Amino acid sequence: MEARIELILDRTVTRLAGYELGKKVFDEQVKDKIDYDSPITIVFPDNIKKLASSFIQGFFGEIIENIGIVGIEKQVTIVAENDKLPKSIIENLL
Amino acid sequence: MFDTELLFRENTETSNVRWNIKNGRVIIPFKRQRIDGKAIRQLLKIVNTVEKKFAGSKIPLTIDMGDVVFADKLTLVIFECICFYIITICKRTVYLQYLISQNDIWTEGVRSAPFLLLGTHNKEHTDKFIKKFKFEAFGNHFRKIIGPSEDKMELSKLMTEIELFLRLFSVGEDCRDKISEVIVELVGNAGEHAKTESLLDVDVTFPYTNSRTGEDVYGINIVILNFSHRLFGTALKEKLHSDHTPEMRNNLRYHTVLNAYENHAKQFNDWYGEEDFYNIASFQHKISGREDALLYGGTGLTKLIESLEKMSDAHHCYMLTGCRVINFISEHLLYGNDEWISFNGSKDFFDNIPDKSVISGCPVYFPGTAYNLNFVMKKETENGSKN
Repeated sequence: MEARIELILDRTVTRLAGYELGKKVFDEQVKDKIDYDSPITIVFPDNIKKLASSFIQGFFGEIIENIGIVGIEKQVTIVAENDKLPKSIIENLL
Repeated sequence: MFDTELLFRENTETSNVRWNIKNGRVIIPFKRQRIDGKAIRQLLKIVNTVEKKFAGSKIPLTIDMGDVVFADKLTLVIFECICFYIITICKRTVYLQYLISQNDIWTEGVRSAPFLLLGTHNKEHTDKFIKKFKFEAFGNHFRKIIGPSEDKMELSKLMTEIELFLRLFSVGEDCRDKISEVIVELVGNAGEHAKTESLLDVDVTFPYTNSRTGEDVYGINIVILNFSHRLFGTALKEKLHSDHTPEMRNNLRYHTVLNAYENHAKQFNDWYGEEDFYNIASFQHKISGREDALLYGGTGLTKLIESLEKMSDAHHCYMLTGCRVINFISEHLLYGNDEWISFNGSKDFFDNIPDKSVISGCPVYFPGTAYNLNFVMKKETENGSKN
């Protein structure tokens, strides 16, 4: 079944950085709610404008291990106020 | 911990410099045309000598510097670390005699440097120096010491803070994004790999006019440094030679690095050695000293730096670790096939060692990792276009 996860994050920051933070957010808010055989939608709050490479790698590491980058491109939809954000994630993971 | 003491533990030479004692102070002559690595080494020797000679007495020091010109921003910040060490570890008062008459877009930050406070002879100014050495966000200057923190939001807060600071000047959105990301990734690396605090210093200069093009430009000068026994390439060296990560040996990229080592080792010479190899290898895409980073390690930092250099009118960027320097020269930061960066313009990391201009040495042993990142950027107009 399709999963739509709306991330709950600190409202005072506009950027997310850090491998550990990415991993923590994934573990706490995403990991148990997704099925790698179904589409996944991840919604970043509007205050988040940019993700640092370290956050992307911590957050998406386990997803890549399961479905690879091609799987992310096919199965995962990123929703963000900054429309450049989804592209930056894929570029970073390549 | 921001361990300035480590700098002195690793640089223990003494000097036969002559000094005067006047009004109960040791007056140290330290007038140099330019304060660079060699001058810093001399200053370290002098401080070691004073500590040895006056071990039982906390006699204050006056460093007579004359007209001060620093080679670059990193040299300036290391000089301040020495002053910080003298005051906080040696428990000596230090006064500076200086004149500042000439500086340029690369070192204009000297005008907002905390060490200027040590030119005034009273305790209040020394206390202010200690405070501003650790933190300042005023005018065109941002300084902060950041440690490994339990708060996993720390780096996100810092990235947000830097982006906001740069917004106060005519720094374009793309440039703000890249600079704030480079900074947090470097600070984060220090926290994760070296488990130590980092000092971050950023200044944005007043506009200058490029005499060649007539365009308005401004400088963004950044220093990030940490003191640690672990040098930049240490983690990767340990990881590559560890028996505890058998899965790593099956990873193609790490396997390539090990093979590249064999090829480079045959070409080691008087200016390029093993330490340099691990330094350049640690910058490779999807290569990381981090234990759990096998499939998706690496941060693409060189890509960001190269991209910033391309956006700039001029730049002066390098990394110092131990006695070794990697100069980030944009023409040598190009990626070849399979995302390997050669550092030599040939796009062949596997067989070819870096270009000689990329590698250099430093007269001071720097325990830890330090970056000097200076960019001269074209001023952007309010609608975002370059003038």
